[in-house]
Amino acid sequence: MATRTFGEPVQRNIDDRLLTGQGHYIDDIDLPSVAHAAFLRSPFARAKITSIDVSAARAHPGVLGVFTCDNIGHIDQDLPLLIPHPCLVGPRTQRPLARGDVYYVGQTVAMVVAVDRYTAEDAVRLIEVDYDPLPVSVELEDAAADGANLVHEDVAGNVAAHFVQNSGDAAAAFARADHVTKITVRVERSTAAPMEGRAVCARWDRITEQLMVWDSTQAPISVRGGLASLFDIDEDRVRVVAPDVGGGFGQKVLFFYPEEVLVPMAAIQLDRPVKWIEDRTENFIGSTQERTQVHTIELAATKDGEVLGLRDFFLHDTGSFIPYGIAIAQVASTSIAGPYRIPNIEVEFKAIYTPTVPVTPYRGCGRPQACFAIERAMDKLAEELGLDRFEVRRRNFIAPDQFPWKREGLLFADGLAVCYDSGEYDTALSKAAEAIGLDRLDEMKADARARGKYLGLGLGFYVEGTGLGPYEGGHVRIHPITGKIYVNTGLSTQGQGHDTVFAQIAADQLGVDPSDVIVVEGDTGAFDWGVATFASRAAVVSGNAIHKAASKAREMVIEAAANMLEAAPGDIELAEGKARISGSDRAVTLAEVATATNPLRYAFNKAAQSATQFAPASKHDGPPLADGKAPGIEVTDYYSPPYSTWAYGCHAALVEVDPALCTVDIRQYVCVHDCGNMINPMIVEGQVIGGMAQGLGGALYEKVQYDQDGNPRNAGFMDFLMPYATEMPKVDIVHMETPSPLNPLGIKGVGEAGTIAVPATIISGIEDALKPLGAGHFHEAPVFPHMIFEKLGGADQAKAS
Amino acid sequence: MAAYFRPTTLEEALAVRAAQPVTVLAGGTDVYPIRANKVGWGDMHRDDVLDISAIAELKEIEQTADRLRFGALTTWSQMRRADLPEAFAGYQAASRDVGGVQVQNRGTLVGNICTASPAGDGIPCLLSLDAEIELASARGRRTVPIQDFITGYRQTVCGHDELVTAILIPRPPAGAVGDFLKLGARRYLVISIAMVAAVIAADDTGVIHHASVAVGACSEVAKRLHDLEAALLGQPLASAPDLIEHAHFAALKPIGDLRASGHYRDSAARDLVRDLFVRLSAEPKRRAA
Ligand SMILES: Cc1cc2nc3c(=O)[nH]c(=O)nc-3n(C[C@H](O)[C@H](O)[C@H](O)COP(=O)(O)OP(=O)(O)OC[C@H]3O[C@@H](n4cnc5c(N)ncnc54)[C@H](O)[C@@H]3O)c2cc1C
Repeated sequence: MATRTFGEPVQRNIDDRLLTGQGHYIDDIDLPSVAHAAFLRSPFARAKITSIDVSAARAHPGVLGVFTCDNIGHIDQDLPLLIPHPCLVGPRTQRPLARGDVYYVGQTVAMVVAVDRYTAEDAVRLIEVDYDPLPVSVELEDAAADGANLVHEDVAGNVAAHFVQNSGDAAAAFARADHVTKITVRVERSTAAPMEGRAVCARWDRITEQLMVWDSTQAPISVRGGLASLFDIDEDRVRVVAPDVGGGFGQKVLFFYPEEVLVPMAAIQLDRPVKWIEDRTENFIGSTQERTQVHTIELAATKDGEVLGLRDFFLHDTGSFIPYGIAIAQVASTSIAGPYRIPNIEVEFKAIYTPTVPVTPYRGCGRPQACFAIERAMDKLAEELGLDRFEVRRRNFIAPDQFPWKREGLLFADGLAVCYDSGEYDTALSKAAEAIGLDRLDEMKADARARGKYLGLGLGFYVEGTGLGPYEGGHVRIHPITGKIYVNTGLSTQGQGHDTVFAQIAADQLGVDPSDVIVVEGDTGAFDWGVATFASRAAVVSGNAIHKAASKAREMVIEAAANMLEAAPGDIELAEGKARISGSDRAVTLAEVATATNPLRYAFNKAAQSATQFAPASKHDGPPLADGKAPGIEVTDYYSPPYSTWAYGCHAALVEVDPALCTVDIRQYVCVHDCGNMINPMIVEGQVIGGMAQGLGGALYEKVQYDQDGNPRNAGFMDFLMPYATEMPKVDIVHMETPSPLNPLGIKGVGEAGTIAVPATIISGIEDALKPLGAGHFHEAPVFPHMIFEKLGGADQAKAS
Repeated sequence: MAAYFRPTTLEEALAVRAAQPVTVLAGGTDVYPIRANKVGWGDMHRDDVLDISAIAELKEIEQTADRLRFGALTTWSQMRRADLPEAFAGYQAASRDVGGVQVQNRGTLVGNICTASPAGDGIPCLLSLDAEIELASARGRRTVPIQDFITGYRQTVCGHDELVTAILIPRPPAGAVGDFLKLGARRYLVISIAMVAAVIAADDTGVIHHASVAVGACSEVAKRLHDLEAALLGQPLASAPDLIEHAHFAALKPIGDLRASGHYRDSAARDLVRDLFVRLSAEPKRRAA
């Protein structure tokens, strides 16, 4: 048996290429005579358009086309509602170009296509639009209040969706409880800010009638399906490729953004390739964002701290449209009980329109908010009952032998009841306590005090439903000439290192080195069944599909090699790119096996001679290719998860606060996490750390701000502050591996894991640190220094001192 | 089309400056972001550009017995690496805190003061060093004290036909040490919430005989704290942190904006000054100036 690479920190196949600048992103695709698009965007959060005059833009030299809603034909329609749900009471999606109304600053009003981007942008400025601005209610709570200004005139109360879910009997639990803890928490809006913004390049080939689209997307197959139906062309005539994609984090799973349909439309209309590369300002005002939710959560507990019931009501800000349905709010509402048994749950939410850029999932997708709500509530419960924060959690954890743990009545994003598959929650908590040095906490606090600082313990536990269905596929083929393994899958990569883990999975089955596995993804021309990259699902869903396909390929290789070597299949082992009889040096290469299984007429190389019609090996009864057999070693298989796998983890931090400047210093950070069996611990660590950096943004730095008229106030990197390497603490990662019983590889997803618990952890640490100063509770994320300042007496104290 | 001038002598540059309105371009680290932001929101207007970066005579740092002269093209990186008296430690610390290394390599000290942002990190340093600004035009040369050079929010006395040619700093008193502290919402690449610079000199017995303290980002233009300075004179350096009083900061008028509230700024400014004094008084006396 070959050495297994599963579980090894195999170096990422893509790193050489990406780190030396050899990656190819959309802007690197340089088609001859390509034209460039630029957009006129609404300067108002809500307004009526009274007139648009494009004549000067049209007359501008170098302009090839100017488009408004009036000359884009049948694509002037509401873009699709991707995930319909019965609770969507007023679903609205935007049009490619505004017709009559604009709903957020940044909404596309017109498009200019010109010989270059400069010309296109100059011409955009020549378009005259008259607007009648309308009053707006921008803040989530204001938009949800009675008498709020409406985003959509016909959607009462700005309510896009209203949903109540029950598991067990919360009312009875509350009636029976000794104690009820109630808090309100608020999480602010952020944005994914991928290094490469969105980008589209399209070419229409008049001769083959093929539409070729390069799209910096997480969902090439879905984009293809959508484009084919919008333009009413046969799916086979549309090819969508997501080449190297410079980060997505959810922002690029949404389709269609207006630009994504308008650029291909222009390419068809103008019969010329067209490209659009989003600039940074556009990314801030035209690409979706996420996070604002306000939860009021109540826990009904016994005096010993056993939580009998949970009630949560929350408002979810969906921005001006809801193209992705209730996904975020649904994930938040179904993750709300975290790792705790809590058998009785009532959770209700309203998704509210605000006149801001639409909201769709961003790494974490509702989970950071849910985690913040439940974890801050558990801390409050511990405080009110006089219990230890660790102990109150322990008393409520689902025990290892209680899995699968089902929450009947709560439907997860896959439409199935929430069901946790496996976990060792108590062990994770103990490991976190140990790694953070809980026994030395008092000593650390005293040391901080001696330096004029205050130190606190941050704690956050999360669960994460990962590996959503419906399915993905894997295609495995052994190339007869090189013997290399070709693997295709339908979803796409944004730099996570899929190609390496997929290669490891296939390599283990076929006994080759992972570097001999060539993975192609994100190209509908290579594989066109599947869905997309989102919800921490690539490894689970595509990974298992590839595993299944590769295992079948392995059986085929063994059978064929056994024939070739005249041995029993049971004696064949695969290693080092060969099939050999165990304990002997008699072997055939995979290239030979792949060649021999493909009956040939022409001997195009030496190995091929043995597969041609006069070669002795080809002599057997019946046709060269037996009925029901396919040539070569080639398998396609699919994996469709029965339900989601639930990863989890526990973060702990020592957080130090300077009571004068109110700055926060993270002295130590521990992340215990469990994503089932790890295919590649190095890649897992990269995902966890990267996710944590985004979580840190949500804890201390990032907040998308709007003024009261709905104008973005920090739509740029000057004032939207992401944490840098200088802000990231060193993280001690503790891996746990509780296999998922749901899939052959026993894996769970990890893409979003790092992000979820960071705000709850750091902010609970700030609260704990400032307890001696009577600062009270921190129930908002992020926490900025001036908020700490206010809690410490703020303005009053400033005047007094 | 906008014109682009890139003269190699000051004389030519001043001729261009006198002949038409131009945007003066040094390192471009303020000019380009401001322009990109305008374009991003639809303002395509372009001024003619006078790029002064090829004028060799503006690149020198000169030290003489009674003063230091920093040519207008001195960059933050040059400042950081220069061998300067101990009183410049604050200005040099600021030069490490401005933006990141790329910005420090391009951005100039003079560009920073001409932008005259309330959050310009160099400005309190120059105030604490009693700097003078040298200007030239076809009409002649003049020098203006830094506190008179910046007249308001992003406003200076630099005339339409003038260029700043240098920053002049008198040689600081013997034993003077300087320091600088910046508070931002992030360690690097961040606009200051507040920053403080001080130059203090004490005699052999540790008694303060020179003190200049300036605070930035807490008023339209960075301010010297003259009352605080007066309170320090004649006092032991070790007691400096305890001499700070609320009233010393009366000149500051911090506003609330999207980076911080006014109250927080106000309070932070005092804490920064205190921290700075703790550092200055705790440090063993470094090499003499
Ligand atoms: C990413 C980034 C981070 C930054 N971080 C900081 C920071 O932390 N702290 C900070 O203070 N600043 C910061 N800045 C701003 C900037 O780097 C500084 O203000 C810099 O010193 C400006 O110098 P410059 O040579 O680039 O000026 P330019 O952009 O070339 O010019 C700035 C202004 O000065 C005028 N000007 C320049 N030279 C002359 C002259 N000789 N005579 C007359 N007028 C002149 C120009 O016309 C223009 O109005 C940052 C900028 C960026 C892009």
